[in-house]
Amino acid sequence: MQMGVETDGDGRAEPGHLHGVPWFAACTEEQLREVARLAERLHVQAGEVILREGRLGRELFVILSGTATVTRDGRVVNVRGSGDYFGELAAIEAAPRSATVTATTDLDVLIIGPREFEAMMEIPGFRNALMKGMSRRIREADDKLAAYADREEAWAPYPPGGSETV
Amino acid sequence: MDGIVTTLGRQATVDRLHEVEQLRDCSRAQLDEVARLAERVQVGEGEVLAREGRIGREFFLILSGTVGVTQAGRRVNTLGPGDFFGELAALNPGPRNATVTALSEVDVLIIGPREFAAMAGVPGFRDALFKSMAARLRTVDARLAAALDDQRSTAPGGEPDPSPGG
Repeated sequence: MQMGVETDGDGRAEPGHLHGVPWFAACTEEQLREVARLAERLHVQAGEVILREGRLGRELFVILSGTATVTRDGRVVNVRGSGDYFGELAAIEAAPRSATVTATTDLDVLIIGPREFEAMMEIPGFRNALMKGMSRRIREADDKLAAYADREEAWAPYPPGGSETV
Repeated sequence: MDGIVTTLGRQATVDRLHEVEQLRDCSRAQLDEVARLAERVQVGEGEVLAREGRIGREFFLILSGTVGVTQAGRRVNTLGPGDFFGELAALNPGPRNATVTALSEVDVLIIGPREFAAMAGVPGFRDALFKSMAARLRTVDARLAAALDDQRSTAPGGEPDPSPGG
């Protein structure tokens, strides 16, 4: 990682940290123990850049406490707080980060590496929550795009071979 | 007799699935699982598989033929063998936000929402699905950013860019 992070204690995640994270609500206790085993817990100071648009990186982050700001091209596009996650797109496929995420306050985060992410994808509760979250985000973005429906360029053809929003 | 016919049908479907590029990482056993969860249907040219605004929870995987995807009457995409659609509705109930029409005779697998959750656990398919959703999310995010840029450049007095994060 390219940021100055301090580990809090030994940096190990405990299942107790995961209660209250909606993403893991569908996981059984045993699955939570598995998630905790695969994740690392980090403390990030306010102002630190956790990931930077255009850079490579495969980690997935889950915010346990604090807030972070998501920017694209310098524009704030989202604010993420406790229980939210980010970095999942790069965890799914190696590609440059699509946004910059900066800690707005001191943050307590779970960090999940690509290999651990693969293992977590075997956990149905985690996988289904991730799928639903992505699906919801695609729908929301599509709804917003529909507001620009009179703008021709907003409806350029989707890349071939991809999924469709129906 | 019915059982034998079904078995033969499934075997033929597995053979067909074996040729699908997006499923090349699936083992024979995994493809058999996909075929077991799905219903295989042939539709004629001009038939509508999903209609914008209507509720529908099925997921579709095209085995042969092509379909046209329209939103608000505009053609936004064309999909062919190996392409799939309907995963958003299978994951989150809601109205279809595009219409999908067969442009030729189409051989398609139809998978209900419950079966879809099981199918998403088949590793070879799971990866294709998540990569496709990640790509879709990147596309809509980028398109949304472009639409906002466009709005900003054409609307006088738009707020200035916030300073870049970090």
